Amino acid sequence: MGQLGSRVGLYDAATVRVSATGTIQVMTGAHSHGQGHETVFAQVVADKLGIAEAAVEIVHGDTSKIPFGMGSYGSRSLAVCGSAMDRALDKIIAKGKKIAAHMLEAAEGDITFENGSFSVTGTDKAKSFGEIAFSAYVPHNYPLETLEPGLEETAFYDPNNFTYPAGAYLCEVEIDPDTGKVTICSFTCADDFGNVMNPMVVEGQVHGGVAQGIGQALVEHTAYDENGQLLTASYMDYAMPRADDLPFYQVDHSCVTPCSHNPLGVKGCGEAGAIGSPPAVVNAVIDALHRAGMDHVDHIDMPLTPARVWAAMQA
Amino acid sequence: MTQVTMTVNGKSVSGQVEGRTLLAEFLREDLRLTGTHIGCDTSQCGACIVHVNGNAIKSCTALAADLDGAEVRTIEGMANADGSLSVIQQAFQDHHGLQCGFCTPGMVMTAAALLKENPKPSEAEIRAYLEGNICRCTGYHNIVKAIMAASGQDVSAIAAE
Amino acid sequence: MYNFEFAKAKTIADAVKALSSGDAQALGGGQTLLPTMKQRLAAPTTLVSLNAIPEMIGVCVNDAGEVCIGGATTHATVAREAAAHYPALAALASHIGDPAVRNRGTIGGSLANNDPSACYPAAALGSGAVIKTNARDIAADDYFLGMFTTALDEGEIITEVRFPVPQKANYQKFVQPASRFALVGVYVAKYAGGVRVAVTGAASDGVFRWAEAEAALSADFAATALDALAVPGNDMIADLHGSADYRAHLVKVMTKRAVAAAA
Repeated sequence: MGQLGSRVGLYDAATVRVSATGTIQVMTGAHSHGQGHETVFAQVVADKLGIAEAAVEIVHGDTSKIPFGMGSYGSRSLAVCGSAMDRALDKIIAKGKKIAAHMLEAAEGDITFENGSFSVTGTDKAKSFGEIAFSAYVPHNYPLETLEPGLEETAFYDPNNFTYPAGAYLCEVEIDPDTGKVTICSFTCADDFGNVMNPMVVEGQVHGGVAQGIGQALVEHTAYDENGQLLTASYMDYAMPRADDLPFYQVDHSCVTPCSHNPLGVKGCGEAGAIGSPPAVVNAVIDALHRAGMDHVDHIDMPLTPARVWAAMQA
Repeated sequence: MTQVTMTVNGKSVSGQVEGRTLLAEFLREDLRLTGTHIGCDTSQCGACIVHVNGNAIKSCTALAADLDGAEVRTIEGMANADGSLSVIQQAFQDHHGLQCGFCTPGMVMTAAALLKENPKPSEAEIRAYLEGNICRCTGYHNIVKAIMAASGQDVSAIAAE
Repeated sequence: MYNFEFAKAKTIADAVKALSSGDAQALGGGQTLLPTMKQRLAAPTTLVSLNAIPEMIGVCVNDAGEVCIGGATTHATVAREAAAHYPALAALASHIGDPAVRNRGTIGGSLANNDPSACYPAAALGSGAVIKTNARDIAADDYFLGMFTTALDEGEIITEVRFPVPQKANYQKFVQPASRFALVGVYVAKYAGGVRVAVTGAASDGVFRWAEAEAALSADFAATALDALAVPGNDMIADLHGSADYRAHLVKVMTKRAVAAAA
């Protein structure tokens, strides 16, 4: 982001440590507080190295173990920290090729890595990822000036642009004309998040975002009195949306336009639900009032509580 | 201080408590059963729900001393005898019914209470029964879906995994 | 929460004795009292639990056909056990708070607290119930004296509430979006001698009877009988969740809905 004028690199970092038995620890700057980093990051590593996800451990949140990073916010974890991880894995593979070249007595340039196996191009000579990992820590006859034992790499990735997810959100509401109460009848989201690593996790992010956005649009309000006293200091007065305020959501991400500037082709998804839903809800309410003949109502301040909607209808 | 004895997750436990000691505090601090969470502490969020004598209650709004002799079950007592996840817990995992996990113990305890009363609840019945359980991460979608699945209903038609 | 001495009564006599000393307070289900004490808005030196007094727990029907509910009976029990005898009352109980709250909260606790937004005061006043204490019987019309204020004396406890069963009744609650208490709740009950309408949540003095609606509905038990009436906004609560005018409006809307549902 330094390139975009923020005057600071909004990088993130990952260290990939391969053990002698081929299991992997990845220390990440981004931290999971429920978004599913452990699942998705392990998937990225396993896919790239052709190994089992169970062999990958994601270590996050412990500043005594992880490289310096910028953390989880701004829908950036996979796009930025995931890309750092991808870069570190590139370094692991490059090092693995050197080790394979030594073990297979071939030129480094002749080694290809595919499906978890290092092989000499055009031959059946190959070493598995696990064999390479073992050799890295039990080096035999290594040309130590050019081939260092061990298999651990770190990468810092500083993106050169934002990602640009796009979506359309559709909300259908009913308004009780006697009370002003708004009911969400259906809610549909279509997003282009680029490549989707784990649909279940991505949809979970959208669900939560949509609920927060509907909460913001309909009930959530931090209110103060004229003396600055907080009036909504507990859930007795601060309204959180509950299960019966919300419907099942329809979530679609079938339109995939990979991000062109990060190695994973992914875009941010964490905030999309919360961004798209408030205007969809408010527009639906205004539209419903217009259809009911109240076309003088063009605006109601959020949250659209029953009291506010009813007051707008009386105006 | 008052002496209290309870059966918690099938085991007899006892301890000395102050009058003001909440059941949630007794479970978490005296018995170290920290799976029961304290969220709002005002009886709204439901993260602290446990079963007392078979009924779901908010353990942050009940005094330990008032529950002398009670039979208590917490999230730590929900897994099967062999340590595998119960049907409800497994459904939460399978259907991504939790993200940060803070509300999850209360959600699972409430779901268990619901399914005991109503083995095949409709979507609306589940949502109504979850009135006292707040979740900030999931938008409730996968929680409701997991409870439907745990009750043996086909959830494949509900959009999105 | 400040600490206190805890005592658990086994009989009504035990409870009355324990409550007679010092700054003792009765503890029902604690669903309001404990949060209030956590905020240090109440700090009794002794709490006397009424939750293990067998004579104060349960639902029955007496010879006069009244539904009698022990003061320490939980909302969940009322919802279950009163359903066959007084469905509107059971339905009201089944929507107080949430399931976990209903498993602890008690009818006696709710009526003794007289929260201006609670549901039970509307049922008691709307049914012309009798609130029986360790010392006397109090008619609902004489019991509710304003927000959080009742005719109970210090140390007096509600042992039973007796509800005459109406021909028709219904309770309609419009919830405050955050607390889910009644922003406005209206209990309508049609007896042979006339119709009672009790309103909770709306007024700054707590639950009240809407006399004009009672007269109109006693003459004609139909929602349309209320068309010409309007509730003045003067005594209504105005807060973050609704203006006085909005609450006054909701009183009429909920009353009409209760009549329609009961009829």
